[in-house]
Amino acid sequence: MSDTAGRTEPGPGSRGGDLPQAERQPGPGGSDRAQAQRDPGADTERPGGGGGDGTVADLEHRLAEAQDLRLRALADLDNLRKRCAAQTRSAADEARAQVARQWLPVIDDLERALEHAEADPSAIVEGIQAVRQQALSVLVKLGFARRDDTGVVFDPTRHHAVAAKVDPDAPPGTVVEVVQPAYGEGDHQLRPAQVVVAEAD
Amino acid sequence: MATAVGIDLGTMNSVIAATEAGKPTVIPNAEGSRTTPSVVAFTPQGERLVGQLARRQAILNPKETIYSAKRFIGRRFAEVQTELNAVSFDVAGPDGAARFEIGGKQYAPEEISALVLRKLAEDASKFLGEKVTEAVITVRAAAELQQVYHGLGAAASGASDRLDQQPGAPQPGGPQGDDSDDVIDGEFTTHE
Repeated sequence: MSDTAGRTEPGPGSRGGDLPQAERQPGPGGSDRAQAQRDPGADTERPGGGGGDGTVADLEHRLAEAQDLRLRALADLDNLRKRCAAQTRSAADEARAQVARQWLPVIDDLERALEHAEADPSAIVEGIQAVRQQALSVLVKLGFARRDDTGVVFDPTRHHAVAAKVDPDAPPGTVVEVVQPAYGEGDHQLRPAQVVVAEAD
Repeated sequence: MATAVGIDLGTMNSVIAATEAGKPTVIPNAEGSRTTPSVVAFTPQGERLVGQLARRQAILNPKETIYSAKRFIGRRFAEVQTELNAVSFDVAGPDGAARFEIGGKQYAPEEISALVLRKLAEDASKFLGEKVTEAVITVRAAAELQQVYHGLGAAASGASDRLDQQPGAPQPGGPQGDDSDDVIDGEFTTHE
């Protein structure tokens, strides 16, 4: 479902067309002036020249102009908000589909390995290991390389301590065992590693 | 324009939200999570950790990782004997008030909760791109806590700021020591 949504959405095309319009919005000064120049021709009550003379008619006119401008700006903002929400949705759908697609070969190969297993059960281990490698390389391509944290100093931004134990071979405060590995680095960390940390005797 | 946020200061986790386009929206913290553990830790390296990072090292640092601080707010040492057995850190009772003992220093429970509030407000400021200047915070409704809430707001924001009690928010004579939350309006500014 998300796949179709991603495809039917014109996406980049419509985005390209919409952008200049969106860019015009933050400059109310510019459109204000444009409007002021346009209006004097249409409005006969307004005295000639750019500067208002402060008469009631002039002030009323300027008020109406400002109110009109305000309504337009609010409508523009509302449209922008809706478009933004729609674009976010379609971008998320597209990203999900792209990631899901990268996992399809892994599923295919798992199924092939299972077919193989019926003929020769011992062959399956090798097959599964190959598929695991393949899955890891998918994660690398997505930017989430598997991390080995054994031996490094415990860091709560990267590790979640699940236990502490005395280990004569490891300096206190370092990771002696990874219970569950981490994937990714820094801001692109899928999850921290669950680790056992060496404690002082 | 001033940005107002709502904070649910929970015993285990806290959440901060703001209204965007008329709808309440939960603001993710700096770690990208919608809830922040109400946990504060003082590491042996002298660092102060708040939230998820504090929780991740809790098992290594049981004496200096404070959780469930909300249960201790505004309570006498004699009233928290059950809680004492459930936590790994040290609680003292100078002058009868419950205080956490961390590295030889004593902290009031509301000081610890204030650190959680401050992280939430700072992360929200970064997310919203403007300073958070007003907050509505959920707290236990109990008359004897009124003074504590003022302290909480001040501690969260720095001495010059204030936490205003709205008339009629936590009613005197409300459920005492009950864990049900009431809401007060507060105003505070985060430190730069």
